[in-house]
Amino acid sequence: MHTNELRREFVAMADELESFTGEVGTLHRKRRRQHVITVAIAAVAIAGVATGGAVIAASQHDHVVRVSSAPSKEVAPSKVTRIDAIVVPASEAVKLALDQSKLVAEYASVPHVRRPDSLLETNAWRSAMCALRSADGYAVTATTPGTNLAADLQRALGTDAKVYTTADRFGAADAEIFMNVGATPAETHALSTRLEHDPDVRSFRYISTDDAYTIFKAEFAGQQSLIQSTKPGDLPQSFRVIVNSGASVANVAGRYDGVPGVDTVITQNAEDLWLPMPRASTPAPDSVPDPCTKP
Amino acid sequence: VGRSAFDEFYEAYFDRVARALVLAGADRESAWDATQEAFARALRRWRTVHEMDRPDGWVYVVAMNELRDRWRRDERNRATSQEETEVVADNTGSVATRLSVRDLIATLPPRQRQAVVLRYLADLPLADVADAMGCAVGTAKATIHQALQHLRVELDDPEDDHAHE
Repeated sequence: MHTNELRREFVAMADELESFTGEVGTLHRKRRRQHVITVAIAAVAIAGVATGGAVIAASQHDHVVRVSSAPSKEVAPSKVTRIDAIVVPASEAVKLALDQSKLVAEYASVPHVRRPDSLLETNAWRSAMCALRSADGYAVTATTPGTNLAADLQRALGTDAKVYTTADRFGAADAEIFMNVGATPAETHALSTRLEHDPDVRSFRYISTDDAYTIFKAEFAGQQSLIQSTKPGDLPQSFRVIVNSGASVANVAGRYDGVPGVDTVITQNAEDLWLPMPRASTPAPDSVPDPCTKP
Repeated sequence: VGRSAFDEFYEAYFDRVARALVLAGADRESAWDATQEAFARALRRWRTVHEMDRPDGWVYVVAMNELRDRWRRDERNRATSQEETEVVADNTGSVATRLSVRDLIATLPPRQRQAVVLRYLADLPLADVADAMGCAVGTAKATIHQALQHLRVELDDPEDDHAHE
């Protein structure tokens, strides 16, 4: 007997088994619940993002000196993988200010869009997404992660545009690695060690369960039922990772996907702001008041 | 609108993956659970998985890993599955002369059985089988060789020969 016959034999045996009936609806419902929790504590809290680690082209954070003939820091939206702020509206004056600001590493245009699922957005994102309903804007990456980009940029822009901070106090990241709820200290320690030795990782920040709960309460202030049904122990620890200029965020994220103790690795790029979620046959979430019309 | 690419993918492969796990030695309940969990993870990172050459291959690998995790977590389940294997082995032993491949598969040690199911039913490349088994490619290859010897199957697959380094 040869392997081809073995293949046929396997297929025949598989065919003889009783069929399995899947329940794809259960998956979608469970996913939505996880989604709410994860989004709540992620710096990358864009509703579409958590449905799957986005595949992101190599991130070209441009810290090298640019030739003077091409001073624009505008890049393709898929290249903006770390969103520190949203600036609305878009205009030539705003572009000029962004190009000239030392605080801005790069930025991408974001078309105005009405997202159907803004109920999942955190407080930090809500006002930015509401502003983007009526006007185009820019997604901006800070030169130095964790700096107070928004306040300084707002001063530079004056009344030309409004700057919305989208990162929480722990700062935006290119990727956030979420541990399983209940990951062991050894698993968390091992991951931390691995990140320290990863040549593509510029820096990373550990977010403890307590940190996560602090973020969660702040981001979802006003959604009392969600806060009351969530205990600190329900939230995972995570690592927010910033990759080196030139390193591929997707490659770095992929490296930690499936590592023991890791639940999921979330990445984003500016396209996630307007590309639809792969929701398909999922029924629409329960109707809630439009977040943008709330006082 | 209506059905998403993920839903279609789920519909096309859920049954196949679950059946493969049964052939790899799982009971129906664990097979269903492990397959569902694998698809749940695929949904979480659907855009990445979607763009792979073989999204189903990814699900097979994750489902098999999940199954083995479950076996590790639940000693009782694992004992049951091995017990069943041994019972089948006794039965086949009494069929003295020529055992069919089908009978022999049931007598394979668990890891060999998982490896050949992934390689020859799921049709995964050796590297993916190694990923699913949590071992080096060379080890996966050796495991498959042992299984084929046990099954008295001759190797005629060029990829397997090349992988020997």
